[in-house]
Amino acid sequence: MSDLRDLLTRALDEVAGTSDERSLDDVRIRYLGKKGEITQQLKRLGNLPEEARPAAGQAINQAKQQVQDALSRRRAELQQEQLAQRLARERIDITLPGRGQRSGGLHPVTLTLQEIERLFVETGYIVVDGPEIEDDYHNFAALNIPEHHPARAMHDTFYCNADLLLRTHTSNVQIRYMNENPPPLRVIAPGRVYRCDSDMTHTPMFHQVEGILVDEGITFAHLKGVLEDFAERIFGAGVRTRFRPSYFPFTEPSAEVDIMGDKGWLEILGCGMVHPTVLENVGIDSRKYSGFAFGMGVERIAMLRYGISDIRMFFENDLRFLRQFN
Amino acid sequence: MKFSEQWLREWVNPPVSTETLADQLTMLGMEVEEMAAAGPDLGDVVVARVEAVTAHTDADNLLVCTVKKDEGAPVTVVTGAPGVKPGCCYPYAGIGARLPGSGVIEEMNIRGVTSMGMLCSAAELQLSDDEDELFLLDDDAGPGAAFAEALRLDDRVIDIGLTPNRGDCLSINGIAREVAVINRMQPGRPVDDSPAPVVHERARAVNLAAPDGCPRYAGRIINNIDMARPSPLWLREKLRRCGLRSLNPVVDITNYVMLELGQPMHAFDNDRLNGAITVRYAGGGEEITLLDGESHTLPESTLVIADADRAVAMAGVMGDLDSGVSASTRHVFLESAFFTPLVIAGRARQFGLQTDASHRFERGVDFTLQRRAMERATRLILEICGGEPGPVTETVETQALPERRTVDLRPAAVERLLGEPIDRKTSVGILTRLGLEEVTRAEEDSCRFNVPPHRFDITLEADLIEEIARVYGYRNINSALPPARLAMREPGSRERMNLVRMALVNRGYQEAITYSFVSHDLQSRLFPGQAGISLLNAISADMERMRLSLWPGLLTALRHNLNRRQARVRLFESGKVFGSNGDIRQSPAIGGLSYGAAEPEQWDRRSAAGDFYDIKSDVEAVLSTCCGPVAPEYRPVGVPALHNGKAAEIIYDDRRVGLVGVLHPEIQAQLEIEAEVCLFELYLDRMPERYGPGYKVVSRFPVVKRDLSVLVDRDIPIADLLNCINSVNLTLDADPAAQGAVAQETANFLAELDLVDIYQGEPVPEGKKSVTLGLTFQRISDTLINQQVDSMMSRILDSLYREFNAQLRE
Repeated sequence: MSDLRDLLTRALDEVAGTSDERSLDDVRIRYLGKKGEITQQLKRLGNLPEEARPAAGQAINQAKQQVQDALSRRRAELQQEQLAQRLARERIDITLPGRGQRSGGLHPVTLTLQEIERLFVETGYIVVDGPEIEDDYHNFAALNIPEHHPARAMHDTFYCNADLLLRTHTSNVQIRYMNENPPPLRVIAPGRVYRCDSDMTHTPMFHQVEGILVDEGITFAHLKGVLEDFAERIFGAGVRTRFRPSYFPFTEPSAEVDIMGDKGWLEILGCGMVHPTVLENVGIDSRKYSGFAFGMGVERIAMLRYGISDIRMFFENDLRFLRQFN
Repeated sequence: MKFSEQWLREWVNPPVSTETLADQLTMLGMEVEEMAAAGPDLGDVVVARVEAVTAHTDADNLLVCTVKKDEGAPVTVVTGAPGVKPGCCYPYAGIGARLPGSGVIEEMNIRGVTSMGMLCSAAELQLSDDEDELFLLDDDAGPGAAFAEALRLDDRVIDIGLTPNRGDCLSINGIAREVAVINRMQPGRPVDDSPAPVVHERARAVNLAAPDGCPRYAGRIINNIDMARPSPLWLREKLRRCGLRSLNPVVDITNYVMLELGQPMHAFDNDRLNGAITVRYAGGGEEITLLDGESHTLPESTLVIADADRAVAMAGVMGDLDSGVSASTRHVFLESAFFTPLVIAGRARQFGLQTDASHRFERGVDFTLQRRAMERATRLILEICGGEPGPVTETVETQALPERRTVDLRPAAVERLLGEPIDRKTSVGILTRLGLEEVTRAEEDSCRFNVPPHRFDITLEADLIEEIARVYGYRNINSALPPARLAMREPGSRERMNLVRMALVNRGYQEAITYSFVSHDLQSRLFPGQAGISLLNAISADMERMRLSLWPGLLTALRHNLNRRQARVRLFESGKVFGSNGDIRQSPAIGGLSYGAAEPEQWDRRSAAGDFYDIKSDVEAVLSTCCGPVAPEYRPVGVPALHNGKAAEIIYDDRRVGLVGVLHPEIQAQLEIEAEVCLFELYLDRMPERYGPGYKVVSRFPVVKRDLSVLVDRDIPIADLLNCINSVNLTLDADPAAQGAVAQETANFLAELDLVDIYQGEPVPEGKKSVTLGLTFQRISDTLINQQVDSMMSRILDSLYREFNAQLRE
């Protein structure tokens, strides 16, 4: 039996000493193959006296089982090692950039516009469009700005001919929309507007969003509520706002809304209660309905949000500028 | 409007700080845009009297002055300033004094004379840009007095932005009125405007020939004034702080009265006028040379002041050069008139002018103010220049004067519009303090107010409510959220546009926004023969024509980026394009431009230059986002902007919805762009709504795949081959199961049709190309057997042979 013990110890040592599956196979054949040493022991059982056979047989089978288990374990170990080696071999530099097309991005004015639109659309406003080449009536006269009104001097207007001009504000859409749609209405009209002016804070084209809400019982208090809410969403909770009396021919009372910035009050938009004459111009009964309107410069809001100081950057379309907003 | 706080406080002096005063003004609608000290720190400057002046013996234009600067002995000061008079007082900076913007004054030897300090001009004191003459002080300031005190420099200049409806606040009087209202005070009237005793009876007759433009005109002759007397310091200082230059005493006084009361006035040299004054419209071709030296030919809509011979002033704008007051004037004719806003509005601007007078008249001047202003100016002239006033001749066309308006207010309407419970007493109180007069009236639910003549902006109830809101305080109106009556709605073009934008962003495009007006030169290279809409008053030639397409702007942006060494540029823009064929067309478009490598630079391979097929794939992505799975037709097209052989129009339902192609190489060369530029433009309003085949059953039966290689002429478009195959009738004649469902199933037999390969060159004969197609057959209801597929393949091949003479390639 000491032979068997030696044999078993030797076999297990050899299994543990293998370094790959082929040498493991060799060990298996040497001990458990047809002519393997443990197999031979079993074959030689017949030579033993009959009463010794069961115990010997059991001992040999136990040894065989131990070797088989060791072989399986070792095989699994070797496979794991191999896999680990392969994985190590295949390691790549995952810090290299991804391949193929890279995403572009939206213009900061569009991003700002989309945010403004989202806020109003979520509270039931619909987004409408209007013409950019406009006639005098819709841009001025219907908005209570007759010819020679001093307010026209505030709008340096581009003209295409005696009657057609590039709209100086998106307020023209107020008129067009109210002409065709009865109250209640909640509308915003984003778009390009034009004034002949060009310096650090003015470009001859910029974007505005016009908003209008007309229904029964709409008051100046509602206008304040909506625009204070808006300022908080756009410039952050807790921003201080101020409604300052102002003048627009198409609203009354009129106000300008300022927010408190680092260096004092900054104007962000103009607003007011729709002027009764404007309501009458579009056939809305001003005794039954009232409404408010507001208009804001999108670039101005984008400049405040992103800290851009030169408005002209928006229209140079320099990729180094545009990509910062991706 | 700029004004001096001190001056305002002479009229109304509320017990509040400057900061509070500024906040009050802003919250009344007169936004304080700037507040500045009335002058720099001049603590080292004192008043000094020049006792004697002698010429410098060694320099022609220098004077040596004996200057008394305090109780001590006089000092010697050399100055180059002209007009220094013995006996006059000037600001003096002694040795060691510090002046703003310059260094410390030192003892100086000027050509042999030691100068002990400096006599200062306004520019040297940074009070104005007047650098020639010394700053003349009044005689009553004794030598040694602090200059800043003599000038009362502890003042602030407040600059307010006035909206065009508030012409009534373009004066100290007007601002004081508002400040008094908000502080619940009565404004004072600290000036002498009592009628001056009439010394002679000379007067000029005035004819109001255009009463609609001038319904009231007051005139007065003042004889024997002394133009040699300078305007006193207080007058010059007030004008300076309000941003006006001192010119001569008479003009200074008319300007002063304008600032004080709001009535623009004009002074003529009475000796330069001939006969009666007529206020009339200009005659045809009448000319005038204004005080600024510019000559104008007057259109007939211009209101003028004329004497017997000619127009002597553009009414309410500016007087003419010849009849103006000058140093040699002895007798003046003063004008104080009311000109109707509509007749003045826009007139000055028409001539490129903007004067303080026209600014006020076009906004509305109190039409009862003229005589008071005349008396006030007379009093000041008598005080400063002496003279003998004649009678005031006031000519009025009463029926042409603005109406004295009354406006009704329903107190309940105040809360209805403002959303704040403001009671009747408060409302009426505010309006009364503003100078509106409540007219007694029986009705309970309404009150009636007389509007004061200085308020041109109050005609409706809403105007009254605005006044109430303004004085009540916008900040005291509590905010609320509006009630909502909302309905659900269909998605609009905005949702579609945002999807398209994101499709392009995902494909590496950066959104650009370019001006809607472009250079005509560039645009006409791309679109010769299309004029486009031009602007009458463009800012520059580069921004002169409304864009016909997004391409000129995108190409300009490309060049901007190429000049900044960008090698790969992908830009898109959405916006309107403007065409005119008779009527104006403004259509929404989306356009894109791709330049350089198809993909961004990689670390392991070089990306090929992007070409037509790369941008076409971007277009396909946009179209599938927009219009669903039905692909459009691409037809070759010749447009001047694009390469003839690399340009397609995109067609849905026989309608061109866009263009895609490669910029014409000649234009590319003209624009000095190195490599090929790919472009597309899509017209969103012509695009079909998203549509396409509905759901089709997915077959559970196996597919049969076959490849087909044919030789065809090189010029045959692949789309034609594919269309031909797709239209072959693949019905199985002998298949009863198919009979009932032919229509549905025919298309389904050919489940997929792929383009596998196109090859030209050996061994394919010259002028031919080899096209390999992958066909996948499948039935919905059954398994296809090989013979059926063979039959379909041969029908397809027959069809290709008939249409294109296609030969099966072995």
